[in-house]
Amino acid sequence: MSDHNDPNDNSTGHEWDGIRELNNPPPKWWAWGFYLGLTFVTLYYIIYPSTPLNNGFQKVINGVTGMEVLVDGHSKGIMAMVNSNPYYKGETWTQAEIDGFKAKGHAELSIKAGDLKYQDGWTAINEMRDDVADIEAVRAGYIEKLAGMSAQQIIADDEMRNFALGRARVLFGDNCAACHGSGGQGTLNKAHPGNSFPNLTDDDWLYGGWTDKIAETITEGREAEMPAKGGNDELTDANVDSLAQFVVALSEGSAALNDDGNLTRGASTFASANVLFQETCAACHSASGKGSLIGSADSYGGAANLTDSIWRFGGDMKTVRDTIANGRKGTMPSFAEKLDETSIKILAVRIHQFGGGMNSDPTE
Amino acid sequence: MSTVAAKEEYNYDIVKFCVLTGIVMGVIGTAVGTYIASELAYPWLNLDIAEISFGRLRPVHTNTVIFGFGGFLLYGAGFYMVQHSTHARLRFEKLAWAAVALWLISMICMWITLPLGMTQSKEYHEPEWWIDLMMAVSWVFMTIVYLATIANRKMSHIYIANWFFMTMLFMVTYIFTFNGMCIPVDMTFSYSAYAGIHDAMTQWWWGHNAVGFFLTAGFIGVMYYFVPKHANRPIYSYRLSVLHFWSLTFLYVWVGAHHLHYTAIPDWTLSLGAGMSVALIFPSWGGMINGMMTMSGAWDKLRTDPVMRFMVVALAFYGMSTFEGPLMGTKSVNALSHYTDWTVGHVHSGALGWNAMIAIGAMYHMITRMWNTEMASAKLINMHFWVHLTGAVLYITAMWGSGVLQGLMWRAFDSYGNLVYTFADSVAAMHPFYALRAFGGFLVFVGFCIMLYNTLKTVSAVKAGSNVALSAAAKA
Repeated sequence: MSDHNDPNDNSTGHEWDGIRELNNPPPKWWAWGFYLGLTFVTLYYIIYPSTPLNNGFQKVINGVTGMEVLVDGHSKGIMAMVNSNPYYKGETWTQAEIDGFKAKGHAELSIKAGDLKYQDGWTAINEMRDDVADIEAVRAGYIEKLAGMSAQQIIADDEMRNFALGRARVLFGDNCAACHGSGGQGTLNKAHPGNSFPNLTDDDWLYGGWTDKIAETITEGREAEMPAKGGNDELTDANVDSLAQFVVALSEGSAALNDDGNLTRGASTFASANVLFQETCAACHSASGKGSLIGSADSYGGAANLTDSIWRFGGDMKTVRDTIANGRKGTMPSFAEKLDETSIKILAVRIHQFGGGMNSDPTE
Repeated sequence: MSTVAAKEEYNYDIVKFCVLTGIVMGVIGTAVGTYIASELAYPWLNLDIAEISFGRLRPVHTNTVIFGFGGFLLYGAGFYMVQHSTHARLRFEKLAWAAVALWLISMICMWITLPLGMTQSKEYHEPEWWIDLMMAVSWVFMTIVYLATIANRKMSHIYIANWFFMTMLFMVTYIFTFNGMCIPVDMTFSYSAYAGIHDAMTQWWWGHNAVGFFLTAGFIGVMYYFVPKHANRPIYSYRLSVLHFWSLTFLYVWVGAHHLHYTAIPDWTLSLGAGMSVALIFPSWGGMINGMMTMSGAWDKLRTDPVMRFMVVALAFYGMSTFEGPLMGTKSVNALSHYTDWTVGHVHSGALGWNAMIAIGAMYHMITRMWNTEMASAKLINMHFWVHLTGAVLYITAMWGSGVLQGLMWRAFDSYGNLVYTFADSVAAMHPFYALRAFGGFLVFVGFCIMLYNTLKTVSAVKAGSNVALSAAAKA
């Protein structure tokens, strides 16, 4: 190349600050690439809608409101000419929809039943609708089948269970994981125990872990409240301390209660604490301390089982004392407005299948 | 041979000021960039302070590197090369100083207002209307000085570098002005003059042409002066420079729409943008080829001259970015790349690879010529080159990886037609890439610190008289 670049050869004769210009032609491959680019752009503009045209403004029916709107005229591209609707097998208006618009006062509609709802031919949004339709076609069979099955039936059917669990991944991630963790493991917030959320993967349930009950919890939401001092204002700080020690002992196994509320272990140490417990706490947590669901067969109470080692807000002495002294609130929002019935059923299957799901209603 | 004005007659003071300020801007801009990149990898770094959160500091980073570092390089190199390539001293020097002062004040105001949340919310056009006005006035002053100096030239032809610079001056003036149109409410807030898709379209008409003219045409102008000058070789092809000048200038203004694929913008507008983007590959490459071919017969300089290396690697990155960009501008590739880190990677392959490296090369060249000295340490220039290049490559590859991974995760379906990943899954998957990106950005920052140190040492050596003067050959 250096012979082409000889300063004494082939120069334009211009010079600025010692910089000279050679009169070489552009490299051939560059020139061909340049023409190829221009050819590409020409073809691209013939194939795709690309050119604004003054072909009168087009009237297009807005797919949502049914109103006629004006859009700029433009070339539609070969894609639309070869086949009026190569991508999207468009939805059409029904007479009922048109009557609905007329009832709302849109009297001057020119659309008829059977007209395409959207502009036909290739458009980016039709291409998207087409992609969505492909995916929907795969899903549709499963979704339809799923709608007619109970959660128990879904769990029993390998294929449908796998479909539901696959579908639940994003449903759970988008709706539940923010509080309950990406794997349903919940959160135990040591610094702010009130911001803790239940673990869904264990077999300890506040309201019930069979699929119907889980679906009910998701649909209706839950409002739980543990009142300060169990609602008993007469409890002294010393009472709270001894109750906290008793509750921790119940969890650790150094104290135990039978169904009638009598101490079967730790009687010497916790006799007076148990009196307080039976007066103040047993109404919700049951005489045995096993909580409303197991101890009282009440699936609406939401009072925790205090005899296992699973803690909703934390089981260290300081947190337990704080819980008793100041109370706790728990809110599970209702998803009835946000998710359809099938999605809630799928989530119930997902949560049941984390491993701790109950097979039947133990309160019956 | 035309008569060259004695170099003592050129106004170097203003160029020296711009170059030194530009280097400081590079240090600040990359420091902020490194910090916000680290925030993405380690979110606790925002310390729950709104003013230093990613959203507030990100425009501080972009504006400081583009308009601070890039701007002062363009002002400095522009004033330098317009004098050298016209053999005339700068006209209206007070106006030139006013332009530089206004630009610097704008940058300082921007550093204060953006963290406080005062923003027009237009990408690469965030500062509020009154800062906009200062920048616009500064730019028009710069344009007047530049054109007046060219009018005063001592030869009939206008050098290609000045063509590119002038097309930048014209285009940026009107695109910046039109995109900035707004109705001010008070000093802290304004409403855009455009609504809905017109606002979006106008925004990207500006957004892409800040890249197309400010960061491409202007920097190509810089390349056209500094590469042949530093290599001491003639420009390879006059015809190629004319062809790619006009085709690039014509095509760039169309392509902004490709930033808005798969949005409410009409399809025909998007097709126009996508088509022109692809047609732009070869006009863009014209500049790269002309620069590279100019190196013919001077390639040995790459071994010995790290400044030359900065310039040539810049051209290679320029060629790569201008191929990647049009691909990402087509509908089908954009369907994957849109809204992902791939875009961020692409921007930085242009910004760190092309803009920063050609700017750094030009700055080293100007420093040695203006102060008539060798740099205090040639080793440090070499170290700057390798640190910067490593940082840029780590940054770009990390963002390619994370961008493509994001795009694929968002569209992954299992055999039942269910989405495989949640959005949060894709965020979690980005962590290693973000950490690597922050490290790459940190290296670029370290490079700028080395440059600032080397420059200050060089200038103080000149003041002390202990420097090594430039050889006569380099001086010519």
